[in-house]
Amino acid sequence: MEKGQVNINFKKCRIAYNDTEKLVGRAVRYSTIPYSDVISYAAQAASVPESNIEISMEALFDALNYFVMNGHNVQIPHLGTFYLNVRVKSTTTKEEFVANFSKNLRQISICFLPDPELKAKIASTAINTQTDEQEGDVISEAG
Amino acid sequence: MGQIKVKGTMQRVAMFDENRVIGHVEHYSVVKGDELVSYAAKSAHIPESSLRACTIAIREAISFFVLNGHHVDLGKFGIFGIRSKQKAVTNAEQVNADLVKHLTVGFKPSAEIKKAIAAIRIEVEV
Repeated sequence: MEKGQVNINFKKCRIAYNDTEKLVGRAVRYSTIPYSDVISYAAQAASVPESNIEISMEALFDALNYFVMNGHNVQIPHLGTFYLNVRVKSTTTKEEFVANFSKNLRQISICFLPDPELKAKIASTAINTQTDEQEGDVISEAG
Repeated sequence: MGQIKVKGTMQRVAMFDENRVIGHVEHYSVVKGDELVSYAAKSAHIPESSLRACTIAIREAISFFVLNGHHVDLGKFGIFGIRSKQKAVTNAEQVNADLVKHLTVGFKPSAEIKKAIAAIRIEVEV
């Protein structure tokens, strides 16, 4: 696979906690690839009909949902692991924890932890930085 | 509808400097890629080999787009995208790639997934 490349754009922002203005970076999102384009790309790359990819994707994500929503961690090789996480206010006693659980429950979320292989790919990604004044100009490159 | 178990365990919380009950989701098992593919193939009546090939293609497509700065919309599942953490600087001359401290792939669940999460039945255990 080709080495990836991401752009980090630095934009002037007010930092509230010390009331200063600084250049804060953010990864540039080139576009959002729609579901249909992901299917076309995968179908072309694997030389399989698009319908096969679409059915597979549905089946795969339904299975993933089923396992994750029932408290299992799901590992997709070379991509990462999906799991559920819960945020609940801590209490001083176990009795209080059980009694006030619904009141103290802040959030249940699905988390994604990238696979070491994906992390290695990310690490070798070329990083271009730019500022708003020099939009499009590459100031430096690494990776 | 899913069902999970949240376990409360006594742990030291540095902020309060005392032992408190902290909740965390009990993870029953780690479902590996092969098990996931077998289950999906059986439930959707698709040949396992075909599903395996498609899984690899989908995975490669996701990492290709994400590592090139695009967000990938997986419909009712969610969106993958690159996330970065970098140091803020005061002037443009200081901007360089070394300021980027952390690059990772993030996942944002779809509204459908969020709805499914909200409907999960929770069993509390201490």
